[in-house]
Amino acid sequence: MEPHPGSGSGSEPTTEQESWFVRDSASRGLDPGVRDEVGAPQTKAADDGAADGTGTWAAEPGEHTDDGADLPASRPRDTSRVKRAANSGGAAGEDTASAEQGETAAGMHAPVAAVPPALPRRYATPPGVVNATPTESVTDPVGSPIPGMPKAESARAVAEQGESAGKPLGSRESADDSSRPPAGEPVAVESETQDPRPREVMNAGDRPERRADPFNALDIREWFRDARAPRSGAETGPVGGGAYPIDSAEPPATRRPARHRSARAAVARGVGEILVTVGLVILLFCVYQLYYTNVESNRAQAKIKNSLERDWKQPAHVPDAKPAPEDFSGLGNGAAFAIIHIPRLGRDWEKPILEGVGLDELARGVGHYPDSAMPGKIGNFAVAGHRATHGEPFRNLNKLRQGNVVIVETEKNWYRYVIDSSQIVDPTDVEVVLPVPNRPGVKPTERLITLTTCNPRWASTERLIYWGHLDSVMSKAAGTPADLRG
Amino acid sequence: MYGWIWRHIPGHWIVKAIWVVTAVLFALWLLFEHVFPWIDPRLPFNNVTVNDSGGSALRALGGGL
Repeated sequence: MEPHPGSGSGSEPTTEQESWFVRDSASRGLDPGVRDEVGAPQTKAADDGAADGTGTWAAEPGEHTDDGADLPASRPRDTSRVKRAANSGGAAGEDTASAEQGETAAGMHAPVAAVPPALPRRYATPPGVVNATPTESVTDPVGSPIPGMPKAESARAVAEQGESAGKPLGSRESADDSSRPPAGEPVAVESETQDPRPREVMNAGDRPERRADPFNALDIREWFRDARAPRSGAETGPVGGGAYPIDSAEPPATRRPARHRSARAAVARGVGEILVTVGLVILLFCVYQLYYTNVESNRAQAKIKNSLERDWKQPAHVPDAKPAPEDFSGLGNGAAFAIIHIPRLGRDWEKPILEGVGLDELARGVGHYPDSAMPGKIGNFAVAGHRATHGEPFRNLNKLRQGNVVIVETEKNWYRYVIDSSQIVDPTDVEVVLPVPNRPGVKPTERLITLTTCNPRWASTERLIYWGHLDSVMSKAAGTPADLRG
Repeated sequence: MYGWIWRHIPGHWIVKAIWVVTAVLFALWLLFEHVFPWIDPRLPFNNVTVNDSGGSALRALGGGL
């Protein structure tokens, strides 16, 4: 094991590997994961154990160059960090460095750390509070205090180091360690380094310092923070990148998979959000069908009825006027020409009739089959209307019974039809609207009416058909039919 | 995805919220006025006429008068 460049002095950061150490801890002072960073560990020889233990963890973007070259691949980072902790300390560090090298020469795979990785203060103990369990507390929750070593051995090693190196232990929990500075000093040190405010010095590519305690759910910024996002050079091992203690328990070997996991998690999150969005859109379509189309259609129907009544000339009242012959030629598709009244469905139930049975026409009222007869003419006057959505003009059509009256109002006349029969047929049964229903090719002799809509109400698998015949015609000049009065 | 969008809208979070609300309203308008009316006739739930194809059509009769 080559001597670390800084092993001699220990206190001066001389190499590039050390410079990050100074930069992070001195200039920024904080890794968000470790709020109680000590400012300049190399200047506090007495407290170097605590300082080193936490200071080395300020920023480790994966640098483990020659330090980790001859170490087992499973724990390169940890050991290098540990090594730095050992080597950048003061005299105590020097002792441990030699001890570490000696032990390494003895064939141990990992350098026995002068400063075993310790939990950051915030997660371990609040400042000023002393934990009375020395040995257990220096181990990370995984239970392996020295990476790469079996637990019992490492525990023993830790105990040895604790004795031989004064206070190299990163734990301020050891109350009975006489070499520990008085309780006041670490508190003072911590309080000044507990300043969460980010320093002004920022380096290229660094993210802004996070000032909030991740446990403080009241901080709204935390709601938008991705806990896995690497912070300013701080995607380190058990202490650095995690926002939660469980992250600090991860051995460094699993940190690289964490990055992949983060990308996969982001993709999964995106897919989930897209699916939820698609579901919401489908739900909105249901709202559109069941509510919005009715609103639109009712508005359109009212407008059409108003314009019809405005356009129709009111004839002078002549009590015995004969019904006038009407000419329905020249009706364009979508033009309204009549109003249908069905007293059985409501006292003032009336809907406009438009030429054509496309969706546009059916959305604005009752549609008239273009190839069928006109009201009062010989043949079959066939109309169709929605039973659900788009205004639902024929919503309760199934209430019609034989003998019910259907009145068709045009500009000049009232046409009074009486219902004869009804049937449920297939959607493809076009014979129901023939001039002679269900008699293809037969010439019509009667004046009939046919009403069609879908059946059942919420599906379109069948059609509900009502047939009727013309009973009488009354001129508008003669007044209003008795069925519509009162 | 939505977190990404939120993070990349510039401004104070109130400003971001205004953007989001505006975007949602625009999306709703687009859906109700253009997308859903386009989808509507292509679904079989609202067919009330009789014709050969089983859906709504202008010419509902085949042959005859």
